[in-house]
Amino acid sequence: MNKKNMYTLGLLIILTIITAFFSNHFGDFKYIIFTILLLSSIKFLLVVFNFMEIRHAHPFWKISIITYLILFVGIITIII
Amino acid sequence: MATTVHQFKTNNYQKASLYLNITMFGGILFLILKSVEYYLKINAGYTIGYNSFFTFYWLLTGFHVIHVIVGLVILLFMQNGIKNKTALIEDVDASAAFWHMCDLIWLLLFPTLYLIL
Repeated sequence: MNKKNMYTLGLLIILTIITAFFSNHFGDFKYIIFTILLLSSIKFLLVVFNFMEIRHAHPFWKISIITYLILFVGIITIII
Repeated sequence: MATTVHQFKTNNYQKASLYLNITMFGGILFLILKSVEYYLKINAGYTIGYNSFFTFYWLLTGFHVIHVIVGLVILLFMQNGIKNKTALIEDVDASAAFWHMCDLIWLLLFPTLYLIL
């Protein structure tokens, strides 16, 4: 496994553990929900840019995927 | 999966095949866990018509499971292609994109369904 993939995988696992910790140890406060979504968004971007190699893609794809993420997180935050 | 693509690009087919097996193992493990979860939910009476949340739960996770099964079939074909040395880099890249797409969907579905709602 090359170093970049290894570090990304390690970071993804750490972020997952932190997300589970936040979810289990804190209540249903809105800021906790937003924190969980924010951590998931970081994981999403890590997979997109490091595993899917979108960093080498046309800017259209980068903008599209980031717009989708902002819309998703925004809508969920507004709903909850 | 990302390492499979990396190893394939460096013509290390044996390692690419190994990492592909690990990826498929992860997918199968996911399906086993989902099966157990579905079994427990159905036994507890939380079926698709229980309430609005469970309607969304079954539809969203069910469609995701279908995509994972399709992904595993694609990876199985890819494994065969790597072993027979008939797979092209475009094939490996495309199957990796599909697998990562499943991954991305789950990264957003999981916190929304299991941690937040």
